[in-house]
Amino acid sequence: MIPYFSREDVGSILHYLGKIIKGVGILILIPFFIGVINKEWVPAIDFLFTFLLSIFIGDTLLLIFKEGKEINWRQGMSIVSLCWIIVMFLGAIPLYLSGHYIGYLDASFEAMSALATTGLTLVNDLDHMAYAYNFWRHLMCFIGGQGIILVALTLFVRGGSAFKVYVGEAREEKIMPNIIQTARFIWLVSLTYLVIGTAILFGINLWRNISPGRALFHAICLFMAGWDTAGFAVQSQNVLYYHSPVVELVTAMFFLLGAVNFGVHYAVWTGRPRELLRNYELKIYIVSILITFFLVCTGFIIHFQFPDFISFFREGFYQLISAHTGVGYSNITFHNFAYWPPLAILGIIIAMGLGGSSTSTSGGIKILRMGILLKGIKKEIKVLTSPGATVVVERFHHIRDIVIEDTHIKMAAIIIILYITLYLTGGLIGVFYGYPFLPSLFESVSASANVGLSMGITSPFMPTGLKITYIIQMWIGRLEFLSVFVLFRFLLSLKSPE
Amino acid sequence: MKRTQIFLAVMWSVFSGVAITSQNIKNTAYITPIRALFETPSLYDGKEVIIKGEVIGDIIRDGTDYWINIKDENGFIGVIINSSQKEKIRYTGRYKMKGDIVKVSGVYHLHCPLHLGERDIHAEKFEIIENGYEVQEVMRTDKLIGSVVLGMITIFILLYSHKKSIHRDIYGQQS
Repeated sequence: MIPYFSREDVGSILHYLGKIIKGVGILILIPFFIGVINKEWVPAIDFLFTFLLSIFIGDTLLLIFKEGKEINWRQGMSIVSLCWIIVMFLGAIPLYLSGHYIGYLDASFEAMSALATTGLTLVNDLDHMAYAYNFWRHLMCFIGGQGIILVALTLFVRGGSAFKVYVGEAREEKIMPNIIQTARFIWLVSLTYLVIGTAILFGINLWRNISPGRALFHAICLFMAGWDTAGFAVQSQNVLYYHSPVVELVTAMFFLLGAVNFGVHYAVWTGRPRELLRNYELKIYIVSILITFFLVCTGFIIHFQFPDFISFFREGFYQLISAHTGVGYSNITFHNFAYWPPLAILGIIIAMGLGGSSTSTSGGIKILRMGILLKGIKKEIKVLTSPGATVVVERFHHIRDIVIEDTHIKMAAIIIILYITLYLTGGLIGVFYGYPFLPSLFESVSASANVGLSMGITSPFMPTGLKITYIIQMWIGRLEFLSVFVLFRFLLSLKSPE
Repeated sequence: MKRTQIFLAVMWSVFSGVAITSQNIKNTAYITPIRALFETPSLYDGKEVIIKGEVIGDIIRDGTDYWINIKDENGFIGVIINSSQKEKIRYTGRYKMKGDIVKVSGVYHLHCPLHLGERDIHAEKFEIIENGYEVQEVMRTDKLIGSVVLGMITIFILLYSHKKSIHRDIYGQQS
C-alpha cells in the first residue's frame, strides 16, 4: 500500500514543479525570439507574457517551498504527472492568445496533444498562423517527445532523484549506467538526427522552389514533429501539403528511426550494429508491421480503386507506418478514410494500439510488452505440455540476453490490459456522444496511443466532454498509467487525515 | 397502389437529384465547394470542375509544373499549374498576408495517375479574381499592460529571492 502523503511530500513536489515551470519558461523564450526576428510583434508579446508568468510562478514556488531531502518514488511520480498538466496549461496560454482556438480548452487540448506527441489538432486557420506560434506547437512536440522530465534532468535534477522522475515518464531502461548520462545520450542522438533531418528536408524544400527562410522553418518543424512521433505540421494539409513522395519517404525514414528503442541506437552508435539483427523487439516490430499491412491490403482486395499498386502503397503503407510508429503524419485527408474498408481501418487501429518500441518517442502498448506476453504464452504452453519436473526457461535478446520471469509477464499483461481498457473506454464515450463505433474507437486509440490520425471526429466543434476525454487519454497514454495512479493517490490523501 | 406511388416518388427524387448535380458540374458557372470533392468524390472524378479559393503557403515546383494549395471555407486541395499560370500569383496566404483568390477550372482526379494517386486538379483555366493583400497586426494594449505589470512583479520576486539567498549564505539556514 502506498503511504499517505505528508507535508514534506507536498513541499518537495511543489519545489520541483517550480523548477520545471521555470525551465519551461526559459524555453518559451525561443518562440519569443522567433517572433522578434520575423517582426511578429503580437505573438512576441504573448510569449513574453507567458515567459514572465512562468518565471513568476516558478520563483514563487521556489521561494515558498525549499528543497528537501532526496525525493522518493511517490514524490517523483507525482511530480511527473502534475508537471505534464501544468506545462499543458502554461503552453496553452500563447496558443489561446493567438486567437486560433475557440477557447482555452481547445488551446489546452492542442498543448497536451503536442506534449504527448499525439498530433490531434483543434486549430483554426493554421495556414495564417504566425511562425512564432507554429514553432511553439512543434517545439512542444520536441519537448514532450524527449520528455519534459528528460529536459529537466539535463538541466537541474541531480543524484538519486533523477531516476525516480525518469521512470515516471514511461521510460524504464537506463541506457547508460548513470541516468543523467542516459538523458544526455538521448539528447545527443536526437540533436544529431535533428541536424541531419533538417538539412535533408531543407535541401528538398529549396530544390522545390520554397524560399530559404520558409524552407528552413518547414524542415525544422517537420523533423521535430516527425522524429518525436507527434505528427503536427506547419500547414493544415499536414504532409499532403508538399505533394511529394520524396518528402514522405524522408519523413517516414526519420519517424521509423524515432520509434526505435534508444538502447538500440546506443548499441549501433557504440559499434555494435549486430544488435539490429539480434534485437527481439525490433524483430517483433517488423513482423507486426507486416501483419497489420497484410490486414490493410486484404481489406482493399475487394474495394481496390487505385490506378496502380504504387498509388495504393503510397496511401496505405504511409498511413500504416505513421500509425504503427505513433506519428500521425498523413498524406491524405480524413475524408479518404470514408472509402477505406473496415478491415483496413481495423489494421490501422491495431497498428496504432500496438505503437512503437519501448524507450523511444512512440506511444501505445509498445512492441516489447507484446513480445514479452507472447513469450509468456509460449512458456505456459511449454510448461503445460512438459513432464512435471521440467524447468522451462524462455529468453530473448534485447540489448542483453534476458531470461523471462513471471514479473515481466505480469507487468506487461497489466499494462496491455490497462491500455485496452483505455482504448475501449474512449471509444464508448465517443459512441455515447452519438458517433459510430469504428470511428470512435479509431479516434480513442489515436488519442490514447498518442498517434494523431483522425477519421474526422476531432474538430473544434466536437463536444466539450469528448475534448476533455481525449486530453485525459493523451495524458494517461503518454505517462503509461503508473505515475498518474500515484498522483490520484496523492490527491486522495490530501483529503484524508494522515 | 400506395407502394407504387411511394416508389415512383423516391425514384423521381433520386434521378432529379442526380440530374441537377450533373447539370451543375457541366455548367461552367457552377463553382464546386472543395469539401464536395472530398465528400462525394465519385461524382466528380475525371470530370471538369471549377473551384474558387485562396492560394495558401508556397508555390512548390514539381518538374516543369507547380503545385499550389487552394483553400475555400471548408476544404483545401492541391492544384497543378504551369509556369505562365504561376506568374499571375502575387500573394499567397500566410501570417499577415491574405493570398490571392483564384478561380480554377480543370479535371479533378480522385487518384491522379500522373501524380502517384494524389487527389488533385490539373488547372486548365486559371484566373485571379481578387488580389491578395498585406494584413496589419493589431496590438492589444491590455496584453502590453499585463506583460509590464507581470514583469515588474517578477523582477521584484527575483530580487527578493536573491536577497534572501544571500542572507542565508551569510547567516546560515537558522536565521
